[in-house]
Amino acid sequence: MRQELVADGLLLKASIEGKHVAVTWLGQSVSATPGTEIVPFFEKLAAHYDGGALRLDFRELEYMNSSSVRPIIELIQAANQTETEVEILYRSTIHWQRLTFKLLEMLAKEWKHVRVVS
Amino acid sequence: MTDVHRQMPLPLISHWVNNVRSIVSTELDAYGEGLVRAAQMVATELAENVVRYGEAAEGTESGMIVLDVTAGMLEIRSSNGASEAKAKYVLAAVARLQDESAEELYLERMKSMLSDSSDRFSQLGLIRIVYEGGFSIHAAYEDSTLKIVARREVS
Repeated sequence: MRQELVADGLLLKASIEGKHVAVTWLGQSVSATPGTEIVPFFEKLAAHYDGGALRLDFRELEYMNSSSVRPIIELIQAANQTETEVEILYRSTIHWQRLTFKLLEMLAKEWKHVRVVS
Repeated sequence: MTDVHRQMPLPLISHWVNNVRSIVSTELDAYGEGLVRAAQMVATELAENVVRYGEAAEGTESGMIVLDVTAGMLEIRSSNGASEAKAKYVLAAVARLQDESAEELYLERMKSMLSDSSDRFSQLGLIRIVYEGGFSIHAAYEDSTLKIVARREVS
């Protein structure tokens, strides 16, 4: 099953197979209020992946504004709290991704079920 | 009762912020992709703060973003009306960025966001300008106007 979110330059493509959900982030996340789109989308997906597995693939995301950080880390924290195995993929050759996800990797040390991979 | 008809044009915020990104890309094209991307990020973060937190002041209802490359120095400046309370908050955040590690401040803010959902002014945009963009940052507040300057050498 597939679901998509298109919002203000951002495209999220979700692939759902049982309790395994993979979400690819594409385009640019530049909305002033990204949470208003991202949060409801992931709330629906959580019905599938809670207690299962969630992959977040940011490797093709061109740009993300600072407003996007909060909803992303909040959804990762929420998934960790439901013991969902979270895998986050990023591209270390992209400057902003390397710096941002390096910090997420440090944050993820406090989350038992979250892995950040470049 | 008389009929009423009044048009109230409104700025399309995301359109204007996208405009800023587009202008920066065009104006700095000759300086290479790395600088363009960094400058776009800085200008966008400052522009978003202007539209989100700026207030009308001194008879003006708009803020400003200025892009300058002079004598090997790139400057991106924002100005907008602001209350004294908001300005004080920003000045304190900028002062910390001048004294402390931007990486550590970014991590501190991320942890703070997770533990306090009511903490809505993340400061991440300002921190990112230094941490990711490699710019220095300065701020001043005068005549109800908050001015922020981000600077970086252009090689």
